[in-house]
Amino acid sequence: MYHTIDRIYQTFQYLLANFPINNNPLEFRIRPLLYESNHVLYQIHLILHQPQPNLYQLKQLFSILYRDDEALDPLVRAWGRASIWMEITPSNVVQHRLDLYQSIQKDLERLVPYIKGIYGEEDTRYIVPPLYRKEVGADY
Amino acid sequence: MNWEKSRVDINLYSQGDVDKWVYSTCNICSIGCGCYIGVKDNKIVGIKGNEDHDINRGRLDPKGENQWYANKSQDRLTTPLIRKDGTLQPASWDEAMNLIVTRTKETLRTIGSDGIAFYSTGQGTLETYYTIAKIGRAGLRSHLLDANTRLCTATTEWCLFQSFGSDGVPASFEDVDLTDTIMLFGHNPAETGTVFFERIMERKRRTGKPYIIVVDVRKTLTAKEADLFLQLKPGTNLALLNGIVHLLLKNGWVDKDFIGKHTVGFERIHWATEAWTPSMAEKVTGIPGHIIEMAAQVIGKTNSLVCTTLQGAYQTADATSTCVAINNIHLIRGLIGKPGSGPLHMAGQPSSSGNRTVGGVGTYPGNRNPGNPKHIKEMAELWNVNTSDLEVGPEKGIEEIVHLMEKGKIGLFWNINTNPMASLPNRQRAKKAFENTFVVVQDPFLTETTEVADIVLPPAIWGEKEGTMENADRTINLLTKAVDPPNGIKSDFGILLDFAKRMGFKDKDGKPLITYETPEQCFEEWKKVSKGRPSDMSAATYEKLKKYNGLRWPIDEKYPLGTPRLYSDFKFHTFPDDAQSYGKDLFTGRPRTKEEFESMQANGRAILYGTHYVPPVEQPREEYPFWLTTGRLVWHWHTRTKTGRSPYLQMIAPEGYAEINIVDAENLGIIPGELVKVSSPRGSIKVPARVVDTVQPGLIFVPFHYGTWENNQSANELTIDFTDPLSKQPTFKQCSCKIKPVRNKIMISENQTFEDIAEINGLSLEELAKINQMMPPYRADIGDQIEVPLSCANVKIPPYMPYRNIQKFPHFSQPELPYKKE
Repeated sequence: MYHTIDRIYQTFQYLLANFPINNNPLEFRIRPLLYESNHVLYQIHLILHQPQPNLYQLKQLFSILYRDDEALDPLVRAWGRASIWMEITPSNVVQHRLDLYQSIQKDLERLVPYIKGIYGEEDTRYIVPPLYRKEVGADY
Repeated sequence: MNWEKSRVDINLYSQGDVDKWVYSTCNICSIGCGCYIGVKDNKIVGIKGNEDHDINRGRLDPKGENQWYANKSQDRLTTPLIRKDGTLQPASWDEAMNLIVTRTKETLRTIGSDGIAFYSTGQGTLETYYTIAKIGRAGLRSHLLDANTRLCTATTEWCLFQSFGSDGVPASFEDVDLTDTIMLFGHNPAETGTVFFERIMERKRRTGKPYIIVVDVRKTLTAKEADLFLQLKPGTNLALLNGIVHLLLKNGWVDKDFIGKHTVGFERIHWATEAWTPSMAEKVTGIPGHIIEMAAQVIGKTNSLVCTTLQGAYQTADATSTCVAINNIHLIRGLIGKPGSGPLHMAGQPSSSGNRTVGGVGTYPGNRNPGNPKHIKEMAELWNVNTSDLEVGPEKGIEEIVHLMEKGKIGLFWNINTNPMASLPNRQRAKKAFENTFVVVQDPFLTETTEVADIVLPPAIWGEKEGTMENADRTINLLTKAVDPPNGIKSDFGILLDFAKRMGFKDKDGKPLITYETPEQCFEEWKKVSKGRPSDMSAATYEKLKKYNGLRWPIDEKYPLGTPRLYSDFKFHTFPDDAQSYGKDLFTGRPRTKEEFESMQANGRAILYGTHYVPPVEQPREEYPFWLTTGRLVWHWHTRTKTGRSPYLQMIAPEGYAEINIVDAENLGIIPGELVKVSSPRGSIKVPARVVDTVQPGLIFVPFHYGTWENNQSANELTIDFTDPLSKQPTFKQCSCKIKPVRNKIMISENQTFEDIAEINGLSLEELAKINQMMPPYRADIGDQIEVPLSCANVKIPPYMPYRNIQKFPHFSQPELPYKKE
């Protein structure tokens, strides 16, 4: 879990260090989400390193982290299309950026079992949005 | 009082008297006009308006008058189709339904519940939508329930969540009859809701009221009737509203008492609009500062105000923020919940609001919050299923579902009564995604979407089924069955019940999940689900809905005959356990947590927001120097699946076109009617040009109704699939494009003159000279290359204006232009 969170944090650090890319208006909306995710991850780090982590606070932070990513996803994909259509950024730069966002999503999926381990199946449903919780559904 | 006189519009084609007139409701736009269906020999032969229905007093929209032609169309599907060896082939209902069941079970096993997506409509009945909700949520445990309402009125829902905590438009058409001022914001009812517009104009002619403000990028038929028309640059709605709010605050045109008692967040508005001086707003919107000041003065001083919005506000940059800004105006002026006042965010379709209300799209039924454990528990109890069976979290918009389809994460996409292959933006992308997915299409006809279907199911149409619909002002209307559907056809409702039975959906006691068998029984179950919620319909019955010609929800013990306007007690649905959603951050679209919502401490008060303008994502530039916007015609509905089958409507407006301003046409040498190629970074279309003064220079307008796969006229070959961060509604109204004439080159031979070439191509000498940028005396020598249009089509679209004498006040028409054809 620590390792995964650390990797996500590093990715956000990189994304922020190389931002904005092309000043497309979508980046105005993406920026606060990147900053918030970065801040939340830092706080999660701090809490997890405490001997007795504040689980209530941690739950809030995880909730925000996933919601940030939910909001980021369509914006970032739109940014990718816009950048190509407007020919304002080389496609390899755009693709690299999109790959990084996708890697964050994969890491967020990897975190789910840990979150379930802390909060249980039912509470996790309210922390982690459905598409990050891959499960085979109704059995008919 | 609405309507001084009734007027029964009738369109009947029958030899001899009809056998009966059957009570119903128009199934075209969102106004919800009462009507009767003419029946002879178990066939629909006409329609007439219901003169006792308050909404229309007998009037009908031209599309409504002609909707019944689709019922008797010879090309209706009468049997399911299954794709075998690449082609759709007739199949039995058993074969088709069993294949759907097999595919569903396989998807559940391999991908899971989120591998199944429903994409329904805004033209169905509440009973169908409720059944989709129950099957989708409790049966399949999916949360991917979306509808074409995403393209239409998703922004209505989200702006209402944000400001008031729940869906439900605060004002109603009754308020339109009482108001001193109406602002039609990105709303062109003269073409999209003619009966509603006639209602406004009838009162205006009789009393001089209301004062009409129209905001639009185009000089629409509605704009022509405005007292004040604000023609703004594309994508600048929010800049205009911020400018107006700036002036309201600066001049003290606010109701401080109301703000203090009934709202939270006022300080955020101050901060967000401080910089939006008239000169700043003028710079961004293109509207002169003194005109903005005039608008602010009217809005600031009026005693009553209704603001309507539609696609010009919804399908655009800053959509939800724009509508929230309108809510802000009503709240800071204290003009809500009072006779003649309130936001009236419209719907586009006859029952798109109904789909939201009963949970076929969006949240859980009865305005329940999918993020609130208490609401999930309530739904689990009402449906007698385990809480854990009901997925948490709101729906995904169609753009997100298309993305999942691209990634192979959707195993079954069930498309009900909508034609996304013509209506989705950037449709080539959508087409590839659909081709990558197992697709079920429920449609009475073969459409652009059945081309990518694996199974096609033919459903009954309006007049062949019963149920209820919810119009744009919360009115629940009844439709009764006038005739049986053709042999071999089932209703949408019946198809869904059949599916549920074949799937064997059970509640937690092992009893069938769905026990109702008729729409009326379904409505009775829905009433229990709605009880105590904002859209309470517990005191409604089919009989009452018919007797009173529709009732507005809530229809409960306290208001057994419905509620003309919401929030007359100034109590809003913003207690955390009452709210339909915890909302989202208005700028980024990030969903708020329950704790964040609680921290706003709205607790029954409306929420005010700072609204921050963001320019459109794609803008004109050197390669694509024009704005492109899309929209509707008065003569057609959506992708013409129905209206294209009316000979009358199809003859009036048979094909697509591109409107271009006179100045731009002159600069590009484009003559009226000549074929042009409009291109965007997504694709291109070829359509005749309409040279007009209704679009501003730099803007191209293309109606979205047209576009088979073959004829290359679809506006959605060009549009962008960016979405609003909150409502996920696509921004159809703004992207960049270029336009150029499509021409042949002819070399002048020794036996040919310039005049000959003009004559052969049906052009005047002046037109040919114009095309070739020649000056008199138009000399062309042997060997010179002359350009001629590839084709010319006279694109005349007659206006529909029952509220005024069109002979006396002719609409701007193409032949009046300087470059007319002889």
